[in-house]
Amino acid sequence: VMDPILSEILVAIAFASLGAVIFTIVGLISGTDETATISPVTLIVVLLGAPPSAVFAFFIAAAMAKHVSHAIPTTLLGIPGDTMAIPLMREANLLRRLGVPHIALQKMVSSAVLAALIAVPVSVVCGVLLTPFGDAIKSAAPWIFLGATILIAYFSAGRFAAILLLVPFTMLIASLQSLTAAHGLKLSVSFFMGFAAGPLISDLIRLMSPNERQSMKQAEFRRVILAPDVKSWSGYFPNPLKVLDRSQIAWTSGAAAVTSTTFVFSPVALTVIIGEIVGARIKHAYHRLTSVASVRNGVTESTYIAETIIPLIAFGLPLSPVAVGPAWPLFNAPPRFTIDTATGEINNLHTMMNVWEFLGFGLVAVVVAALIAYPFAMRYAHRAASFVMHNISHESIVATFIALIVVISWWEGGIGGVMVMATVGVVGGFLNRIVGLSVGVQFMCFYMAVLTVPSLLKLFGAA
Amino acid sequence: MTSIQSDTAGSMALLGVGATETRDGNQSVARSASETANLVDLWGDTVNLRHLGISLAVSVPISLGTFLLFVDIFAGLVAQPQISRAYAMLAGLVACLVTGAISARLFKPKRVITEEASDPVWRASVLAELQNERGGVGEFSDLSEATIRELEALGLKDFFQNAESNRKEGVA
Repeated sequence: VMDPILSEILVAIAFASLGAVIFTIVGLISGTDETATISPVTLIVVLLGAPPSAVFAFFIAAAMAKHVSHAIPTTLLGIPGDTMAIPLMREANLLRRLGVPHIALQKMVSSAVLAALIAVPVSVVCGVLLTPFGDAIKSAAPWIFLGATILIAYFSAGRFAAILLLVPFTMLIASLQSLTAAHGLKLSVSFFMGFAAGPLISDLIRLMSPNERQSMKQAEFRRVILAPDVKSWSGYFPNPLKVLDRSQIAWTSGAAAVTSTTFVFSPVALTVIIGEIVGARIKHAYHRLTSVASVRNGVTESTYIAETIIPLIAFGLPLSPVAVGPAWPLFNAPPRFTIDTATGEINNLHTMMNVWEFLGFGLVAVVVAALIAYPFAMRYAHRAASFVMHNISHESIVATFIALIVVISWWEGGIGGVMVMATVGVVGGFLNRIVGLSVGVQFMCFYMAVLTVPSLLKLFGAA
Repeated sequence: MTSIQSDTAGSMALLGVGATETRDGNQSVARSASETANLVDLWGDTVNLRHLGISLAVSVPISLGTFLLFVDIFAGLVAQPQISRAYAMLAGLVACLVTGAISARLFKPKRVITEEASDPVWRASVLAELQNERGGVGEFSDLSEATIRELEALGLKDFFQNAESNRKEGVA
């Protein structure tokens, strides 16, 4: 008979390995948005009944591995691996044109490992410090979501347009909710799938309009330039602390620690801002490029880890851009994980795991993901990038993704789920493309629709 | 920019079909009209409209059908309805991946992949860009021993040193 604690750890290691392997591969495929890829697979892990600690380890390892391997298309092909890789593009491209893309890659993946190891303990401490305020925050949740959403909208591409659009978009969600509820359907996942797929769905609709199709026409195949393979170390793979120099270790660690506490801000915005702050303090351009690339990729890890762990420990409510995006199945995946908006009762990883478990399994996940994704990125980056570019057509990626969101929406609500997904996908996708109502803001609107709208109507509803 | 001919040779060599394809040189990069007729830019990459239509027409109904089939199958086998539906969703997900793999086999990517190192023109353009950014290129005296060794190992030390002396002469 195996010790139950040991067997729980082994199961968590197995799930972390699974998440790391899957998302090391997904990270190679450029343009695979985190919310669109990590959340549906995590949802399946949740619903199949994996133990809470294994669900948590799966997610952390998946997110970490993806932000290691997303550096491969970013540095070797000049195409952002995912949403978080967009702020890495400038440094990656300049280093590529200098002829040293392998240095950009090595620095980025080394700082990812370093930052993730720092982010887990710092964000656990931060979550513990915020726990005393948890109850106050939970009871004020409708207003906190309102404030946070306005803040996130202000910092999104749409600025004031995004803030104004909160009203109609939230009302659209609220009305779809009450329409489906009238037919006995309680939907959430279908909405989330629609938000995540919105940009693709709106592109597909544009394709069907003759006018828009003309503007999307291409005369030639897409040209992609792959950097040559260079191995610049001896042994199996280099020590991450030797890839970075002393000041880069210091900047990456400092940035990781700071961004492990600022959990309410957009991870993309933080990655940009921290890079600017560090860049302004480094005098030589070459050192600036490699340092900013290191620091920025470190921040892609620390923000993701902190924005997942802090709300899980302190609130159990998804009060961060990552928690309402890629990590939503850890908070709200009915029937297993639930947030009852009427009674305020929470039943998810927040109630199922204690602080030491978050710390321990978080570190286990980060170490497992590092052991899988780091050597892979160091040794096989070039071959993997070449294989994906030559063999994985964009048609197959689009078809797989559309089939996936249709299956998941149907799983949740039959044809009603699919229609809700399509409706919010089309509306959200066009609002995102035309005025910059970002996917993160759309997720926040969902929580405003279920939390803030009822409270507002209660307060000011009487004529 | 290197010639189109050698670009194609590079990408074809990677595909393992060098000998047959490079023979006709630049003929092979000028794709036939039928190959480029239906190309559109969608969600960040180039696709062929007809290929996309077929891929979707294969993936969506088969994946959804697999899910619904397994809902029925598992309903008889697994007592808890929530768990049995989750298993059916897993079957649906596998169908998504399998049909996606079929599309990938049927339709090749619409990309021309070139393997190319940086050339001096590229490097010079980087220098111009770095000079214009806040803080400029900076000076060697700002660098640590470790970074100078790194630049030397990469063959970039002379590049930055020459740039610095050229700039100083220009100022003087």
